[in-house]
Amino acid sequence: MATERRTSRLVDPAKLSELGALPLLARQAMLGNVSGRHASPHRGASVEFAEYRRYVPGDDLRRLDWRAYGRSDRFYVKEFEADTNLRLMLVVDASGSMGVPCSAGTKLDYACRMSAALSYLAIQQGDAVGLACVSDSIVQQVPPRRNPAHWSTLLDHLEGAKARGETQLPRLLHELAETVRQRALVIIISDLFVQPAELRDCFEHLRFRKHDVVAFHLLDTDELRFNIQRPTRFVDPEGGAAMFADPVEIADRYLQAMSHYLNELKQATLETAVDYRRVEVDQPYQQAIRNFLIDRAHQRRSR
Amino acid sequence: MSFLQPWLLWALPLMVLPIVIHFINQWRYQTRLWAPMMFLLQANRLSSGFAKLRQWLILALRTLAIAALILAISRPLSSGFWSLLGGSRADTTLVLMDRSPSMQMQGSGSSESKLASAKRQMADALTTLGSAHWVAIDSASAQAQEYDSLAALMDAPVLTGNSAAANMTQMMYAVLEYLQRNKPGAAEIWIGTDLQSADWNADSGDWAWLRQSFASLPQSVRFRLLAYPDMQSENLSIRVTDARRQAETDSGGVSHNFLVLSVDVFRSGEGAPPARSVPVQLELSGVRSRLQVELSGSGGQLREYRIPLPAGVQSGWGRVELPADANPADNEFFFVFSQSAARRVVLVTDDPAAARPLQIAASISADGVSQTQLEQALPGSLSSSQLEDTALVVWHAALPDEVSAAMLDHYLSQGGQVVFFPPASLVHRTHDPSRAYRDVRWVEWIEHSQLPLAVTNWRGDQDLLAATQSGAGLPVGQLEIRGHATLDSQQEMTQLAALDGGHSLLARLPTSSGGVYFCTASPDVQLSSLAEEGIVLYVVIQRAIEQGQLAVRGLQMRSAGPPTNPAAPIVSDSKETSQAMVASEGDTNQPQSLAQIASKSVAWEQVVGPPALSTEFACHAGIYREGERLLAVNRPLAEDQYTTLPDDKLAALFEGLQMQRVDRQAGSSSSILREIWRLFLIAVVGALLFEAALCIPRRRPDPSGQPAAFPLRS
Repeated sequence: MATERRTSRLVDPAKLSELGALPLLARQAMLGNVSGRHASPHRGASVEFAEYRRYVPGDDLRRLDWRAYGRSDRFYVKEFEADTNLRLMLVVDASGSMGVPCSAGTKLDYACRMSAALSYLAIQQGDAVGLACVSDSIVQQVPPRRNPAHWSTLLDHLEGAKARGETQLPRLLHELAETVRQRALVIIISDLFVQPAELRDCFEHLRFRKHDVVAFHLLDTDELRFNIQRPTRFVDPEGGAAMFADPVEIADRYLQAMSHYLNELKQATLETAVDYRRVEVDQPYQQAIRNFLIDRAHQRRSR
Repeated sequence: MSFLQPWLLWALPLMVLPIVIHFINQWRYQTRLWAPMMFLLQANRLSSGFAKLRQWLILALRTLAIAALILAISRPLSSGFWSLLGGSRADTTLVLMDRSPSMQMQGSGSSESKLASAKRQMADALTTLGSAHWVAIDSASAQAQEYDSLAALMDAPVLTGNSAAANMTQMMYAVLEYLQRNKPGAAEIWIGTDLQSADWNADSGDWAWLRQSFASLPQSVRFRLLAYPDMQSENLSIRVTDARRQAETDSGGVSHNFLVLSVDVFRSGEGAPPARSVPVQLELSGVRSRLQVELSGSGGQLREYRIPLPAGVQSGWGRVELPADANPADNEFFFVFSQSAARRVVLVTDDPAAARPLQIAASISADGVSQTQLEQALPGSLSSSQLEDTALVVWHAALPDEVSAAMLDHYLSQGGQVVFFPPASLVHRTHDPSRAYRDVRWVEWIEHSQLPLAVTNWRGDQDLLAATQSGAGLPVGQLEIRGHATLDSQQEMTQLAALDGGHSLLARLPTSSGGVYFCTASPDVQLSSLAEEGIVLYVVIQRAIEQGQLAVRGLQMRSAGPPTNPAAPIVSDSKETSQAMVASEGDTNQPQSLAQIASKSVAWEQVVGPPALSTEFACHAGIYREGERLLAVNRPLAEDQYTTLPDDKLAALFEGLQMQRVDRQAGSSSSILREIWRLFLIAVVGALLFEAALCIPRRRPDPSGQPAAFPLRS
């Protein structure tokens, strides 16, 4: 496979191999082009029984259930679930705030590694994968493709991603909600530093378009706990005004604001049925992905 | 505020250290890219108000803690003497303790006297302050004595109560002399006093000189006045004004022996208490009895109270005592009694015939009863024994030679009286003009036989020529002076009577004790009418005898402390005189020094009285025996008539000098000086605790603990 020949700073084969055994599943029926591993809203020819339906003229006589005819003297057609592939749309936040150094390099780097891994998993199981790097606009967009060579294209785009510009994530999510075909798996990898109310609108829009939305919320430990002691001049990476502050003095209020924000975000994701995943960037990205995949598998099994 | 280690206050600028560190910390900021600026901005908006106040409070508390720590190690002092000590530790501390009877008054609600309180509080303060040298000035003798330590000073006899008055001017002179002689460094002068007016003698001109002298000293001199001016509501004191033995023979020829006693009881204090009777215990040669004295107003009197004495008792001693009250030091009074003081007159003459009028005038007593012992002597044959118990010396001869002059000086120092008349050799112009007594010499004899001179003016208000008690003047103007002598004096004499033409007839030489008179007219009937108009001569001689008798009696009942003559100024206002007084100890015009007193009193034997050092017998009340003679020593009269020096007068005495005054009450338990470093340490601890409380971070919400919508698996 082409991907095996490719070497990229975003790819660690050992970590990918850890994740390879886990399927990437959608929580809802996807609308793919070809047969795949995901449930489809349409009936198909899988081995999974779906329902009986009255025969209507034009149905293939081979699908008549003769045993049912013998018991009830009526014609029923036996239908099966259709298995289809999915369209995975990776939305990577490439705004300036994602370029802030952290323990894992930058959040953008972290996001790209996650994207590379997720796209690998999806392509490996035959799903189409697309990519949108968003900042103040959609700076890079790759339509979903399912051929293995497409992964290389995705890696090229991910490696070329630069963190710059002021985030316009809500507006661009609305835009993507309209442009991406319905019933796709939309994975947003971002720091989500926008107002939760705006995100709620975006999520509702995506959900309205019947997308399965996953939000990976990348947070640095310092951002989360604010363990800074020295007076610091905080510079906005997205070009806003800098601010001088003594972290000791404002820590409690900062954490209070952060906590309030997280609560609101949690509420918004719960109400919009978005699969929200908070990821602290000091933990390995494959662990976050593995947890995500396992949860998905469990949900699929419970259904 | 005062400190024992004021140099440590130079470290006070360190109190800005927290502020400096704060600004350095601010200056050493880091720059950091920060993605969630929205939360920072939100937090910053909320951080105004209490957060900034808290920050400044923390800084203020840290500053306060350092300041309090520095102040604590500087050993601050707390007392009414705030701002008492402006400088460093004193090199020499001089303690001037008034230990007169009035200082032994007890405080209200306490049995501790003013003197004990002053000693205790002064010891506490001086223990804290410390000093390199310790000196005490005795209030009785005004002598400086050095001590090795404060404890030794406080245990010294010079700080114990006695019966002598405190002479503050003399004590200040002693301080000045000590400072001038020893030239110490910074000096602290601690004065413990009850501000009794008589002790301070604020009207004396000495104070101006003292102020000037202290101000001109090169070293720093600071006065600390520990005053106890409070009076008890009522205090009684008792005094015997007269005690003499009197023998009478009744019509049946039986002789009776009496003690005639006169007692004054003084009442001091505020308000007007009702009249009442106070019991007085009388101890007479060891036998006790009780008298009652009626009090009204400011006191009561007992006059000529006759107490029968056993037959044959010629002399003895006694004591009167009041019940215990606020001041135990003025509740008893000692006295001695004997036959009325002898009217002993020594007539020194080289012309007995001419001196006959003098002999007659001296021989006849005014009451017609008392006998006069007249002893006639030649100038060269005068002996010191002749002058003992002598009321008057009439010198009608050439002025005394050195030996006789020395005896007369000693006699005068005990209050004796001497009247000089022109010798016959002067009249005959054969005298030695170089001979002088106390720089006074006879110059020449001037005859006025043809036209006798009259006395044009004389002092009728006081002294020997004073008018009688009925107001009638003496017939001095009727005298005819047919010849008179002229005097040459280095000193200014007080003219008591002047002849026509301005020549002195009778003049008094200023002396510290005793009386020296020069009469320029001769008693010879040929030369004046002194004998013919004998009233004036008689009165002059009798009054001189009376004054002498008082002095003789005063030798037996004397005031405690060095004898002084209030009529004669101790020191003059002139700088030269004061300097001489400060520098010279042997001046005969000065009060007797402690050594002089001690040399006399060590020979005494105490009969009755509180325990005292033999060197201080003269300063402690009691009955003493000096050879065959009994002596009664008691407190001075001023100690019974207590008045407090007004504050403005006291302030005027120290005008221009560094003086801090603190008033205390006897028995007060509060210290005048106390180290309060503990309070500052508590302030340090309090400030640090408060600062720590403010620095405790408020409960920080842990956003990492916020559960995600779909919790992560670890």
